[in-house]
Amino acid sequence: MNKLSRRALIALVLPLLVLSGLGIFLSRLALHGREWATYSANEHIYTAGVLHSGTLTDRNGVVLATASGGDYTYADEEAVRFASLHAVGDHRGNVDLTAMELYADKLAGYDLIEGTSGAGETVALSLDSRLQAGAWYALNGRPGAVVVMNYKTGEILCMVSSPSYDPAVGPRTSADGYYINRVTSAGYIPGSVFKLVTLAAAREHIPDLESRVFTCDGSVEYYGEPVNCTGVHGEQTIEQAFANSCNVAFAKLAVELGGQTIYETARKLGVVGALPYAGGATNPGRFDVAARGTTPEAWSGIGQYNDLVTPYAMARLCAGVANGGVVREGTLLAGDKGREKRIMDADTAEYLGACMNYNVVYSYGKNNFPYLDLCAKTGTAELGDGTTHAWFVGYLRSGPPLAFAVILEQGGGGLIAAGGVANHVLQLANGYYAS
Amino acid sequence: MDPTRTLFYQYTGMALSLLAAWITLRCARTVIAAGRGDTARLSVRKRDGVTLLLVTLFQLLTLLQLLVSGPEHAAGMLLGFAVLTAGEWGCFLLERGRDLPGFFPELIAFFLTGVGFAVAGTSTPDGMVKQSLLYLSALSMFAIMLLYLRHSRLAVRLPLPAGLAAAAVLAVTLVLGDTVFGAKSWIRVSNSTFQPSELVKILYLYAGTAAMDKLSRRSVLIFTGFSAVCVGLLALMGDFGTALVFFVAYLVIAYMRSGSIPLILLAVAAAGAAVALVVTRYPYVAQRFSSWGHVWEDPLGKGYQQVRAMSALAAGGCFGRGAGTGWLKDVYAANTDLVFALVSEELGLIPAVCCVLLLILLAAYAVFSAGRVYSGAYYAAGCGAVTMYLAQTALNVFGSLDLLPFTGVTFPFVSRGGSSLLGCWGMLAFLRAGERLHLTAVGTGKKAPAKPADKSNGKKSAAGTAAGKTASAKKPTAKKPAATKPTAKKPAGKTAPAKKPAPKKTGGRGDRA
Repeated sequence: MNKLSRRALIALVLPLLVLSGLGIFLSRLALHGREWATYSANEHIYTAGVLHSGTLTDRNGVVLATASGGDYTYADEEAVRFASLHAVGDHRGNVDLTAMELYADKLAGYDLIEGTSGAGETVALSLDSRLQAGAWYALNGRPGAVVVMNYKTGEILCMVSSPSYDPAVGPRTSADGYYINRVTSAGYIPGSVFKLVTLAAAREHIPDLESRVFTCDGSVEYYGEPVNCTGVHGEQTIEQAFANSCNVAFAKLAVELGGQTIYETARKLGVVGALPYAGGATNPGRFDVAARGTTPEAWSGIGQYNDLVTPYAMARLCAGVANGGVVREGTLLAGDKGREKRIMDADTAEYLGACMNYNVVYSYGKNNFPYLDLCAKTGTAELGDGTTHAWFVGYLRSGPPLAFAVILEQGGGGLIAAGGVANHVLQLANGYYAS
Repeated sequence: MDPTRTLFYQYTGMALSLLAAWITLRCARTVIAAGRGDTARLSVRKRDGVTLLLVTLFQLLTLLQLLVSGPEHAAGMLLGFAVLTAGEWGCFLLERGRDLPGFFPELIAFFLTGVGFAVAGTSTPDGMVKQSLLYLSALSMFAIMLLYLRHSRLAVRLPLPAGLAAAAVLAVTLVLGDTVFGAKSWIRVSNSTFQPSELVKILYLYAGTAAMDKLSRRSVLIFTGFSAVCVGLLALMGDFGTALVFFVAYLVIAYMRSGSIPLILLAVAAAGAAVALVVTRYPYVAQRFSSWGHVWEDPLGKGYQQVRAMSALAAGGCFGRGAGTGWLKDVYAANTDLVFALVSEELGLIPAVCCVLLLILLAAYAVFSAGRVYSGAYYAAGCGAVTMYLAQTALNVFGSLDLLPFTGVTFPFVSRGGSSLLGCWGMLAFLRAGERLHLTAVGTGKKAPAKPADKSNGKKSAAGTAAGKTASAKKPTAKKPAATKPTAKKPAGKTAPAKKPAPKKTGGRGDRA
C-alpha cells in the first residue's frame, strides 16, 4: 500500500496542471477582462450591440451623449450634435471607432471585482464642444474634415467630419459617406501637403540641400512625359520652392531620392501605415513605389499618383514637427497623454518648422491669420477631373500648443478654402486657450 | 434594473462568494489533515456537519436569487431546492454510524450539485422536477454502488463482465448513437437522450481496478488493451474529449498498477502517434478544433460560444450578476459546455473558481486516503475517479475559455445532464468504497473490513476509534514495515503487529480533534 500511495502521487499531476491552468486563466482575465466584458454580446451593458448606460462629456463638462436604461440623449446645441457625431458616436452604431465604442469599457464601468454592473460612468472627452461647433459652422455644410490636437499631450480638441446628421434624430438619408469619420477613416489624395514628407526625406538624405538652386521653367520631363508646375518659379532656394509649392523642384527631389526612400520616410512619419489613435487605428493611407526615374515617381513625391493620407495623419505629422520630432499619439480622453513616439530628428523637425513658418510669412500672408504664430502648408490635390481637394495643415508655434489639419473635398484652393476654415477654428481656440 | 434589485444581487452575491470561499477553506483544512495522515480529524462528523450547513446556506441564497429573478417559476424552484436539501441531509444522517470517516467527498459533490441546481434553475426553469428526479436517481446510484462495493470483495468479482459490458455499450452507442455536434455519443430513447459514455466510466474504473490486487504484468497488458479499445471507440464516435478523459485515467491507473514509467511514456507516445495519424489522414478532424486559440478572430462563427462565455464571465465579476439574471444561458450548450462561465456570470467568479478548487481538493483527498482505504483496488479506483473528474473539469473550463480545444465535455456534478450526474455520483462511490473507520491493517485487500461497531452511537465510535486509524494512516510509522516487503503480496499479516504500539501515542490527538 505504501508503494501504491507513492505511485498515487501521479494522480496529483493533473490537479497541479489544473491549478496552474486556473492561474493562467486568471491572469488572462486580469489582462483582457475589460475587452471580454465590453464585447457587444454582453447584454448586461448592451442592447442589440448598443451600450445601455454612461455619459460622455467634452473637456469642460458639456454633455455630448448620455445613455440611461436604453434612453439616449445628446448635446443640447444642434451644431455640437452634428459636429460630434463621428467622434462621439450614435447609439444606432452606424459609425466606427467612436468614443462610445472605443471607451465602452470605461462607460460601462467594468472592473475586475464588480464585472459590468451596468451603472454607467461619466467619461470626459478631450473635445471642446465650442471648437466642434465652430468647425461645423466654418465647414458650412461642405464635405470635409477638421482635426485639431494638442501636440504636447495628444488630446484631440476638435474632430469634425462633414457631411453629418443629428444623432438625436437619426440619419435622414443613406447617402454615401455619412457614416465615415473623414478625419481618421478616409484616405485622401494629399497633393502638396505631402511635400512635407519629401522635404523631410530630402533634409535627411541630401546634405547640400540648402545650398542648391532649383530652377523651375513650368515643367520638367521624364521619358518625354511632363510634370507640370502651377507656375514658372525661376531660380529658387529649397525654402522658396517649398513656399511656392513648386512641383518642378519637388519632382526633381523625388526622382533623386527615389520612391523607396520617400516611402520609408512616409512610414516613419506615420503618413502611411495605420496609426494608433484613442485605442483604435486609422485608415493606413497609401504610397506606391513607382519605377525609378519616371513621372509616377515624380508625382508620388508631390502627393499625387496613388498617394492617400488621412487628415489625422497630417495633423499628427505637424504635431511631430511642432514638438521637436516627438509625437504624442492621439487620444480622445480629457487629461490623457498619448504614448510618445519620435518620428523624426529634432533637427529635421526644426527645419520643417522653419520652412512652414516661412510659408506663412512669405507666401500665405500673416495678415490672413491675425494673432496666430502659424506654421503651415497648403495643398491643392488634383483629382484628375479638374476639381481639387483643399488642404491646410500646420501648427501654432506659440500660444496654445495646437496642431491641425483641414480638408475640404473638391473645395478649391488650399489656402483660400481650407485656410479659411482653419483660421476660423484657430482664432476660436486661440481665444479660449490663450494663457 | 432598479437600484433595490441591484443592491439585493450585489449583497447576496457577496454572501455567496463568502460562503463558497469559506466552504473551500474548510475543505482545504480537511485535506491538509488528510495529507498529514490525521484521520482523527477527518472522522469528526460534526465538523463536516457545519460545512454542510454552509453548503445549504449557499444553496438557499441561490434559491433566493432565483426566486427574485423569476418568481413565475417559484413552485418548481422551491420543490427542487427542497429535494436538494432533503437529499443532502438525508445522506448525511443515513451515513451516520456506517463506518465511514467524515463526509468529505459527499460534501463536495453536494456543493457542486447545488451549483448545478442553480444552473438548471436559470437555464431550464421549467425543468426543476426533472432535475430533482435526476438528482434522486443519482443519489440512489451512489447508494447502490456504495452498498455493492462495500459488501462485495471487488477483487474476485466481475472485472471481466464489467469490462466486456463497457466495451459493448460503447460499441452499441457507436452503431446506434445520434450525432450531436460532431460526436456520435448520444442514445435516444423515446424523447429523451442520454450519453452512455458517462456510465461507462463507472464500468471502466471497476473493470480497470478490480483485478489489480493480483499484480501481474499480464493483467496490466490486458488492462492496456481494454483501455485502448474504450479510447478507440470513443474516438471513433468523435467524442475526443471523453476519449482523452479515459486516456488520462488509464495513465494514472496503469502507473499505479505497474509503477512503470516506460509503460506510461509508451502509452503517451502511442496515443500521440495515433492522433498524428488521424490528423494527417482525416484533416477534417483537426478542423473541428481550428478555432482553438483564435476564437476572438471569429466571434460570430467558430468562436461564437467561447467568446460569449468569456464575455459573460468577465461581466459577472467576482460576485456575479445574480442567479437567473444572466444572458449566457441563452447561448447553445451554456448549461453544459460553458457552465463555468455561466456560473461565473450569475453566481460570481469566486464560487466558480471554488468549484474547480474543490475538485482539486477532492483529488488530493483521494490520493491521501491510502491510510483509510483497506484495498489497493479501491484506492486506485478512487484515484482514477478523481482523475476523470479533473480531466473533465480541465477540458470543460479551459475549453470554454479557449485555453484548450473546445471538446464539449461536462463539468462534473455542475453541468446539466442526467447521464453525467448519474455517472459522477456513481464514480463517487469508488472514493468511499474502501474507506473504513476501523481500519486495523494496511494491505492489499487481505484484511476484511470491520463492520460498523455500533450504529446507534456512530459519532462516539468515530472519536473513540480515531486513534486506531491515525496510526495506520501515519506515514512515518506505516512506511517502514511496508518498505521492507519485497512485493506487496501478503503484507497485511506482518504490518499489523508492527503498528500496534502507535495508536496509544497519537491517541490524544484524536480526542483533541
